[in-house]
Amino acid sequence: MNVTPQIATPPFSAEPIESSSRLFTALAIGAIVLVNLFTFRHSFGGYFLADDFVHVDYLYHAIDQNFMPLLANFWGNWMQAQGTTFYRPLISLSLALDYLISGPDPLAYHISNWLYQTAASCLMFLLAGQIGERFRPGEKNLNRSLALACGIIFSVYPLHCEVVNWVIARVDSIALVFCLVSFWLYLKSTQKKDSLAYKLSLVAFIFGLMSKEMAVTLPPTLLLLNLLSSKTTTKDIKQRLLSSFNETMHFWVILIAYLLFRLAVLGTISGGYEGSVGQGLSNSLAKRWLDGSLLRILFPFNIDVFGSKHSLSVQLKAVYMAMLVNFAAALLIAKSKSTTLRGLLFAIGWLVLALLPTYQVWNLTPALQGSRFIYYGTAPIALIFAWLLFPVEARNWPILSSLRLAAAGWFSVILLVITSGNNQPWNHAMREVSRFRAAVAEQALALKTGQSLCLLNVPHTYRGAHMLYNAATMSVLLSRPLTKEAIYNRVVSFEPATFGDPDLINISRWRSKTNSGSRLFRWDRNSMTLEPLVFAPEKSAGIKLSKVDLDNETKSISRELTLNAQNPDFIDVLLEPRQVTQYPEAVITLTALAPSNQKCQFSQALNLAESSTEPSVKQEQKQSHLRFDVSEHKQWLALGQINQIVLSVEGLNQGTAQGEKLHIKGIESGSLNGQRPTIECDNKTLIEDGDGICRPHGKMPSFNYDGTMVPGAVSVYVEVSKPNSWFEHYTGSFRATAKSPEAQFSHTLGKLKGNGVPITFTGVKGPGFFQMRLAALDQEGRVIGYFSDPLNFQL
Amino acid sequence: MSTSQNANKIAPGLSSKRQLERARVDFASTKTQMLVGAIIICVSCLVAYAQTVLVTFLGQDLIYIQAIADTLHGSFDQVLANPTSILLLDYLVYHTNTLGFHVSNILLTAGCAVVVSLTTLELTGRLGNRNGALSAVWAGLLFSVYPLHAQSVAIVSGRIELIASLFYLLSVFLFLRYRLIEEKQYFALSLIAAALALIISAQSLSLPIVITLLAFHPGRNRFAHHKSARADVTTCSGLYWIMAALSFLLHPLYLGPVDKKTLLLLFFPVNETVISVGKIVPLALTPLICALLVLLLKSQIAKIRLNQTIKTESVENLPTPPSSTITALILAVWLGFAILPLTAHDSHLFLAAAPFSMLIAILSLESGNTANKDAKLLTTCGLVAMSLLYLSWSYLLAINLKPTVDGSLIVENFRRQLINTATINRNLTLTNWPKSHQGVPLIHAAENLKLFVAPPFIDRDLSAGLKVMKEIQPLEESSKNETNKEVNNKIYQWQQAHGLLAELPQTAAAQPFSASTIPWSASSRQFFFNLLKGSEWHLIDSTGEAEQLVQKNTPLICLLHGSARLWAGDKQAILWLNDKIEQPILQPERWILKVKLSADSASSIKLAVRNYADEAKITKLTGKSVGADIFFDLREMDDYLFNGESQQIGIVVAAGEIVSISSVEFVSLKSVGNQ
Repeated sequence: MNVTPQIATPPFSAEPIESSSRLFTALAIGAIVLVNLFTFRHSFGGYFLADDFVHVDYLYHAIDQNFMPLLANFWGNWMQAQGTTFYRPLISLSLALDYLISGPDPLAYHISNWLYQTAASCLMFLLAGQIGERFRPGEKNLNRSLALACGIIFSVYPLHCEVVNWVIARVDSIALVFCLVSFWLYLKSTQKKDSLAYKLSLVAFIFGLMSKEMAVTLPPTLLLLNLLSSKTTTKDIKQRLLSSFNETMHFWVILIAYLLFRLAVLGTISGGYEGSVGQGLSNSLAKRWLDGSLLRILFPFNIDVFGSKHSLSVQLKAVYMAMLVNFAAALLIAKSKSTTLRGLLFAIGWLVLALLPTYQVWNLTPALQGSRFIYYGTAPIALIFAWLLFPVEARNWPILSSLRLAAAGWFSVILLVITSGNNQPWNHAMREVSRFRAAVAEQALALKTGQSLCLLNVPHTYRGAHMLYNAATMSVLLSRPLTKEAIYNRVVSFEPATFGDPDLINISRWRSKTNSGSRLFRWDRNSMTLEPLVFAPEKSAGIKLSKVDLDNETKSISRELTLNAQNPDFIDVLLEPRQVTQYPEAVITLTALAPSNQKCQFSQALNLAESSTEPSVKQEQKQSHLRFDVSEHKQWLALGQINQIVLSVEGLNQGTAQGEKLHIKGIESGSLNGQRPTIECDNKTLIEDGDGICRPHGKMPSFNYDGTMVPGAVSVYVEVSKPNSWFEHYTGSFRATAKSPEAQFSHTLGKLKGNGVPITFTGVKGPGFFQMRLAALDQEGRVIGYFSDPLNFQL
Repeated sequence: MSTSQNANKIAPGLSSKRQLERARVDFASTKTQMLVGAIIICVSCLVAYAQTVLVTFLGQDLIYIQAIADTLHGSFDQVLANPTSILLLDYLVYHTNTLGFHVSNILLTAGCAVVVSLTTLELTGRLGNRNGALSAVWAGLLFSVYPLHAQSVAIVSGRIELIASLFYLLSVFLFLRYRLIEEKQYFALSLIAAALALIISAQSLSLPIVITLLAFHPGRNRFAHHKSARADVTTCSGLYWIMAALSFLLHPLYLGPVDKKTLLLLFFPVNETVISVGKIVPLALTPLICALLVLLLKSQIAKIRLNQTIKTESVENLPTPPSSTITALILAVWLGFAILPLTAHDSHLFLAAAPFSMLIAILSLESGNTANKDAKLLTTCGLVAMSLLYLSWSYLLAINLKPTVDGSLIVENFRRQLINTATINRNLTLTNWPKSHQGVPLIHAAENLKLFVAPPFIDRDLSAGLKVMKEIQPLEESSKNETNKEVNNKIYQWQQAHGLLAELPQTAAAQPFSASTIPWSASSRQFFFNLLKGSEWHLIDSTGEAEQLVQKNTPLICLLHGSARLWAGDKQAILWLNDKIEQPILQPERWILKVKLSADSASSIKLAVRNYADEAKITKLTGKSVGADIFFDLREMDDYLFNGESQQIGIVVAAGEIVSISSVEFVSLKSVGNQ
C-alpha cells in the first residue's frame, strides 16, 4: 500500500508539451464530434424540404446532361436560375457528390450536412486556440479553455438547426468551413512562417467565395485581427493600418478579382433576390432588423416550441450576467488590460462584419426561420462568449477558475437543451413532408383516368421549419426520382408559384378546376392524413343574418346554416357609420364552423369598413360594411360546409364608458359575379399546368377575356406585373379595386370581350414569371367593381 | 482494533525492566479506519433498511418459496430452472417467516457496501493516497443508501441481484488485490467469484470488460517481472473473457438501447409514482453540484501546484502518482456498462450504484497530500458535499421504500380477508386483487393468488374453490355457464380505495344508459337541459331563426339538427354524462363507449372517468377512431372497472376546441368485434 512507484518525470522540454497538446487536441476534437453527434442525432433520418426539391430535380437532370449544368455554374448564375443571382458553384458540386452516393435517398445529404457542421465546430476549436495564442502568447491553459469552450458553444448553438437539418442550407456551413480553414491556416502560416499553409489558406478562401458571398468578409476580418493583435507595436494608426493591409494583401487581391469576375458573369456585384420578393425584402429592411431579431441571437428560443417566455431564458440571463461580471473582474485583476479588451473587440468586430452582408436578406423570425443568415455570425458569437468566460488566467484564484468552468459547462447544457427543442420542428417537418408525399402518391395512383387530384392545405411550414413552399417544389416531390411514377400531372395544386402567402387562393381557378370529375382533398396536419373535402350538397343560397348587439364579453352564434364554402366570395358585416368612426381600432372576429370539428377565423379592424355611397339613402339609414373576403382563403374553403358563424368583437371600450355595445345591423354573404371580368388562357397556345402557371405551347401564346358581365363597362383595362412579381404580394389580397402602381405595363382594350389575344401585344418579354389581370372601366376610365383573378404565366 | 506492534521500548530511567507500551488504537492506520468504516457502513445499512424487515412476500417471492417447498417435497424440476435455490437456506432456517429473509438481504447489502469500500481503497491506494480510507468509507456509505436499491433489498426475490452483485464486486476487489501484491490465491478466488456471479445473473457479463480496464490501470505493480503491458493484460483478463463467453449459454446476450429514463434515474433516483421528479430536482442535484464544484476546485489547485513545483524545480522529490483521471475514466466506463441492459429484462441499477458511488467519492475527496493547507480546505469541502449527498440519498431512499412497506400492508390486509372469506365460502370468484402499489409489484399474476391460500403459507389448502377472473373477456361466458350450473359461487372484488374484499351482487340490475337512446341534437333538448343543470355548461339551441348571444369564455353546448356542438371556453371543460354506473365489472355491455362524431373528420376526443362523488380523480382515455365513430375501451381503466364506487364518464374538450357529436352510447363487445 505504501508503495510509491518511481515514474520518470518528463523533462519540461518542447517535445512532450507538443505531444501533450496533440493529445489534448485529439481529445477535444473527439468530444466536439460526439457533442455534435448527440445534438443532431435525429436529423439523419430526415427528408428533403422546400428548396431542396429544386436542387434534387436539378441534379437529376444535370446528370442526364453529362454534368454540363454543374460546370456551367462556374461561369454563370447559380443553377441558371431565374429570380436570383448567386455565384455558388461548389454547393451544387457538394450536392452532386451526395447524389452520386445515394441518389434521391436523403440519408447521404443529411450525413454531409452534419459533417459540415461538425467540421466547422472543430475548426472553431482550432481557430479559437490560434486567436488566443495570437493575443496572449504562452498562456497555454487559458487558450485551451478558450478554444474548447468556443468549439463546444459553437457545436450546440441553437441557431444551427436550420443549417444542419435543411439540406440546401449547407450553403452557409460550407462557406463557413472554407473561411475557417483559410483563417486558421493564415494564422498558422504567420506564426510559423509556413508558406505552404499560406498558399492553402488562399485556396480555401477562393473555395469559400465559390460557396457563398459571405466569404467576402474574410479579408476585412483578417485586417481587423492584424490591427488589434498584439504583434503590431507601432502607435501610429496609419502605419498600423498600412502594415495590416500589407499582411493581408493577397486576400484583398483575390476579393477584388472575385468581384470583377462576378460583375462580368452575373452582371451585378451584389446579386440576391429579384422581383417582388427582393422588393418586399428591401421594403421591410428596417422592420426586419429592428423587430427584436437581434435579441433573438442571444435568446435563441423558437417561440412555437418554447412559448414566449421560458424558464430557461432566466437561466440564460444569469449566465450572461455571470459572464459579464467575470469579464469585469478579470479586467480589474489583469496585468495587460488592453490585450483582454482588444481580443473582445476583435470578436465583436468580426460579428459586425459577419452580419453586414446579410443586411438585405436578414430575417430572423420569432420561430427562428432564417437562422441560416446568422450561421456565419455564430462563429464570432461563440468566440465572444468564450472570451467573456476566459479573459485572463486567474492564477491565484482557483475558485474563480472552477466557477468559470462550471459556468461554461452550464451554458453549454442550456444551449444544448434549447437546440434539442429547436430541432424538433425540423424533424417533424421532414417526417410530415415524407408522409404527405406517400399519401398523395397513394391517392393519385388510385385515380381513374381523366380524373385529377385537387389539393388544399399543402403543408407550408411547421413552427419555423420550411416544408413545401410552392408548386415547383411540389412538382419535384411528386415526380421521378423521388416518386417512382410521375404523378404530378394528375395533381392540381393551389400554392404560390414561387413564394407568397400560402393561405391565398385564386378562387376562379379553384371553381374551374373542381367542376369536372376531380377528387378534392385537404391535408390534415394533426393526423397527417389526406382527408376528402365534402361540400354542402345543394348549391345553397347565401346567408343573411339579423341584427345583434355585441360587447367585449359576448359572442353571437348564428342559427344552423348550410353554406357551401365554394359559393360566397365575401361576407359583409353591416355596421353603423357612427360607430365605425367611434371605434376605429375595435377588431371584429368572424369564426366559421364546419360540421366536422374544423373552424377558421378572420379578424379585421373596424377602420377597414367601407360606407355605402349611394346618395339617395337617408342619413340615419346609411350603413357601412366590413367585408371579409373569405373565398380567397384556403382555410375557409377547406371547411367544405359552414354550418355556423360566430361573431365577436374586441377593443370596444377604449376611452368610452364600460358596457358600450357595437350594433351590428346584419351579416350578409355575397358573390362577386358581375362585378369583375374574367381572364383565362386559350388552352391551345397557352396551357395551364397543374401548378396554376400557364406556359406557352407555340409562338403566339394568347388568352381570352370577358368583361361583358360587368354592368356599365365600356372598356377593359389590362395590367401586367413586373417579372417575378405578384400583385398580391403588395396588397396581401387578390381583391383589388384600384390600379396597381407596381404594374409594368398597362393597356386599355376597347372591346369588352376577346378570344385569342396574344400576350406579346402588351410588350412583355421573357424570361420570368408574370401576372396579368383585368378590370372593367366606365365612361370616365374609372375601375368598376373589382379586378379579375390574375392569370399567371411563365415565359 | 489493531495495536501498535513495535511497542517494545526501554523506558528511560529503568535500566533492567522492560515495559510494554500500552495498547492503543492507531487511528492513523488505514486498517483501523477501514474496520471502523465497515462497522459504520453496516450500521448505516441496518438503519436505512430497518423498516423493511416486516415486509411480506411480494411479487415473484411466492412462486420462489413455493418452488422451494416443492423441492423439499421431492420435486426438483423447478429448482434447476429457477435461481430460487438462493433462498433455500433461508427457507430451511426461517420457513415462511419474512423477517429472516429480510435480515439476510440487509446483511448481503452491507456486504456489498463493504466490498465497494474495499475496492475503492484499492483504487485510491494507487493514487498515492495519504488520506487513508476516507474516500473508501464514503464510497461504501454512499452505496449503502443509494435510493434505487429500495426494491432490490426490500423485496425478497431481489436477492438474486444482491448475491450476483456481491460476487461481482468481490471478484473485482480480489483482482485488484492480486494486481497489487501478485499472490496467486487472490487471482483464483477472484475467478471463482466471477464464475459464481456469471452463473447467477446476466448483469455480470460486463465483468471481463471492467477487469480488462482495471488491468490497464497504470498503477499496477511495478516490482513485478517486466512483461509488455499488453501481454500482461491479456494473460490476467483472458480467463474472465472465456468464462463470460461460456456463460452466454446461460444468459443469451441482448444489447438493449440505454433508456433515457435510466440515465435520468441515476441522478434523480426516486420512485416517480410517489413524488414527481420535478420536486426533488434541487434535493438530488445540489449535493452532486457541490461534488462537481469540489472536483473543479481540486483540478484548479492541482494546476497551481504543478505550476509551483515547476517553478521551484522540486519535481524530482515528489513521486508522481498516476492521474486520478484514469481511475475516474475507468469507473465511468464501468458505470456505462453497468447501465447498459445486457438482457431484455434486466435493470442493473443495484450494481451500477457501485461504480457511481466510487466515482463520486474518489473525485470529490482529496487523495493527495493532506499536509498541504489547501488540501485540508479541499477535504473539508469534499466532506461537506459527501455528507449532503448521503443525507439527500437517505431521504430519497426512505421515500422509495415507502411504497414497498405500504404495499406489504395492503397485501397482508388482503391476504387476511381472503383467507377468512375462503374459509367461509368454499367457492368464490375474485375479480380484482392488489396488483401493484406505486410501481411496486404486489401480487403479480393470478396464479400467485392460489398460493396464498395453500401450504406452506397457511396450514390448510383452500385453493380448490378459488376462481380468478383472469381476463375480463371470459366473464360473459363464465357467468352464463355458472347460471346454468347453479353453483353457489360468490363474486368478490378487492376495492383498493377501501381496503376491502367486498362481495358483489350476483346479478347487477341492467340500467339502460340514457344517452344510448337519445340522439345528440336539438330534438333532445330536454335531456341536455336536465344534464346541464348546475354545471358550468351553457346550452343554446341553434335550430331556430335567431342569433344567440353568449358569454365568450363559458363552455357551450350548441344544439344543431343532427348533432350537438361542444365548445370549451378559454379553459378545458368536461361534459359529465349523467349516468351512475354501478359495478361496471359485472356489466359487460358497459365496457365499450362509442362516440359518434357529426362528420368523418380526423379529429380525436378524450374521455374522462371519475368516481361519482369524487371530483378530484379524473383519468383520461384516448379512443380508437373508425370513420366518424370513436370507440373507447373502458376496460383499460382499472379505476373504472374495479373501483367499488359508482362511476361517471365525461367528454373532455380542450381549451378553445370544438367537438361535434351525434351520439354517445355503450355498445357491446360483439358489435365492436364485428366492426
